[in-house]
Amino acid sequence: MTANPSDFADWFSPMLVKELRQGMRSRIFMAAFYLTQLLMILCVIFNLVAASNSEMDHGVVDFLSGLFWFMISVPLLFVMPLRGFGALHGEMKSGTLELVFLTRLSAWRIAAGKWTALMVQTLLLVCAILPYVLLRYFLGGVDIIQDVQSLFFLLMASAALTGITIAMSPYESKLLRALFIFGLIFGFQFLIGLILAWVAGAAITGGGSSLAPWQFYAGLVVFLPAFLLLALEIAASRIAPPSENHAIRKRLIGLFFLLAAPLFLLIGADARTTYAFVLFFLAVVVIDALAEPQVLAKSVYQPFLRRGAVGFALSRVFTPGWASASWYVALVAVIGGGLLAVQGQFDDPNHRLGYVAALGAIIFPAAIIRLFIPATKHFLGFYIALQFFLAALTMLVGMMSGISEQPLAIWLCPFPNSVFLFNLVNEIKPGQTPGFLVLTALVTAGSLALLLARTITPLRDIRTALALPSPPDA
Amino acid sequence: MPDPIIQVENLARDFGDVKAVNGLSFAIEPGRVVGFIGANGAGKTTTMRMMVTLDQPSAGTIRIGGLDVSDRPTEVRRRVGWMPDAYGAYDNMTVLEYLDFYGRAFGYKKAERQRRVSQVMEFTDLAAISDRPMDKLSKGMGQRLCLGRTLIHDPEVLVLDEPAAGLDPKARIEFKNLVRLLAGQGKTIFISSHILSELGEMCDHLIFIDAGRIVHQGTTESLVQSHGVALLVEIRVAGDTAALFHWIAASPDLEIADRMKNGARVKVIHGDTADLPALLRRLVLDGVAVSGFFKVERRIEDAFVDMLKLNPPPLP
Repeated sequence: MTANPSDFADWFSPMLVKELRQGMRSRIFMAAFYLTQLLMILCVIFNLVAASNSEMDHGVVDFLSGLFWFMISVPLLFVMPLRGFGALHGEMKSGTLELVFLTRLSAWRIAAGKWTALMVQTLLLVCAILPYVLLRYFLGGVDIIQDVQSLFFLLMASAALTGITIAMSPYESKLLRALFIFGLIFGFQFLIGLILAWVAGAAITGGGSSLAPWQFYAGLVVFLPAFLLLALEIAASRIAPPSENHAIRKRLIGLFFLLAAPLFLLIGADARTTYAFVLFFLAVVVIDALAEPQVLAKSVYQPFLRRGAVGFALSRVFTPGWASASWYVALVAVIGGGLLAVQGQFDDPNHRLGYVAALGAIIFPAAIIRLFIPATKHFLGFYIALQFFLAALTMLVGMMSGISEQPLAIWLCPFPNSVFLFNLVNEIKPGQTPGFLVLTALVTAGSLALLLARTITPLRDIRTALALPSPPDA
Repeated sequence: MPDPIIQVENLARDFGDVKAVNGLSFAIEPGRVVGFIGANGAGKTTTMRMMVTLDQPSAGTIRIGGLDVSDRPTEVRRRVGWMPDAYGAYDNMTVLEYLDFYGRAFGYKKAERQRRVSQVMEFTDLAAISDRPMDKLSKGMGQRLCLGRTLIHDPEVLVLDEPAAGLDPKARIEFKNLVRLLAGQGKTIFISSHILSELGEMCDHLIFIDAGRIVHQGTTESLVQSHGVALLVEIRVAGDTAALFHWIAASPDLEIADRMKNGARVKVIHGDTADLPALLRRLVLDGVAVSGFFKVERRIEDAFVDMLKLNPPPLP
């Protein structure tokens, strides 16, 4: 042995140590680091020139400030998060991930280690930027607190984006990655603008409503960690050996989002913004769950079955696979509906329609897939394609409705997905709401019933294959 | 007889309609070196992956050291070392860092980890190249590193899938020696390979599978002497071989195993060594120009081919 690895590294997760050793020597990190330094130097030179010329136009000063943040944002919001795409996929392809599973590291620790390593490298980039932020302050015309705040929010956004790319990295789908990159390119300027505007004191707007700063921070503290946990659990569940159960945590996080919503409403947050967030997060949980393959592993079922009838009931909802996911969707639908009813949200027929349509929009394509191709291994691909198809159809009918000035034309598109979108943009007239509500409720209930009916065979197969006992008497 | 350290019972693995493994049962005592032989697609790798908890059986059980791999995968992983046929190299990582990472991943701290890494590097003769990047290793060095990684947590059972595939002759001999050393340390080694003669030298028990089921298991000797073919004779002739081939074809107790430039390897069905003088006499009296007549050892490859003929896979 020619060298002793440092003992300092013993304080950290083995995966983090390995990833940092590899990552900080990688060409992408080196390039991003040097490029950021170069761009920062250029920015400071421009700022120096601007500072020496007191008659410089305000527009030029604003442009230079924008340029500074743009240059910081590229590595933080683009280069480093996109590295997450290769985090798990590369190791899956080369077969190295399986070898790590045979150690004491679980899939969760692997995914978390990958994310942490990327974030540490991003943090290093941020630390390298800090001297330039200070320099800008000394050159004048800059609020250092605002700059540091902006940097903090960029880092938070980077953390979330890196979580998303790591969650997506086990998937081979180029379409999924292309969609994300496409969204990132188009959302890039919006995201930077939003952060800078927020820091500059403007309110974050969400569908015409606004969040007070403390509500925003509370949301950040509650939802960002939960979202990161979810993203890393999704990644872990996709790479884990069949003997590991990741469905429990993911689905519990989904329930957490659902139950956190009323708490935010209690502290005065806007209902529409809160439910928009919750719906987005829940949709991620539910779609991911419905896309899970069925698992035949005794070690997954035994912990539940040791707990008798209650354990058996919980296994119907918290074991991996789309069959138990379908029952989880039913549970979420009941809890969500109950919470909204208790809060009096269903007093408004539009809210009733919005809830039923949102639920239907998520499960209707899943039911179609499980009806026609129940054993498909490409659920997610089909699901995304169906969602796009239904959205395109909705837009077409929406345009027809607009051109013909005949509101009834939207009845041509009676799917829950269309109703959800029409309702979102207030295209449904008050007189049409009851009709749409009945129709959408029927389609949604039918979709859910179909999904549940489809679970009978896989659940029976699991019981037979693993020689599990029959359902105990409650 | 000690309790088996590996016990496989009625193991099955289906991929849709394909039965990759179909009712395998075998038991292996501690400290044995067992060869697992089969053609491509016979179900070797699938079986091995289930043994090391990387896949789940569709039916049947596997017990390692008495632990069911489906029920207690975590405990099984501590007792098993898995070496797949292809080792994946990490970018930007040296040999030492690679072994150090696995030491950490198995939960060893500081001094204990360094001791284990040192031991493994010494055993696999990697100490001299500890600072070399993994992507600069030759195939032989890579395989030794992969074996070193398999040994880092000192497992009782080693499951090696085609470990010598793609190695040059020198690296293959080195690897064979390492396996012998490990066997000497009392480890149970379950090894698959396409190079059957090598398995014959390394293993004291062989399991042959075809189409997901066992077609034979036993010692190398029992295999070579089994299936009704006890004798193999090499006959060389002066001049044209046609007369020899014609003579063999006319003899119901003989069968050509291999055609050669100047003769043939011939299987003597249901014969033994005492019959050989009579066979030679018959050959000469029938006018075949014999220039050489030797008893040869039957190769495992021959036994394997015979076995597949005698045990055709069931019709789908």
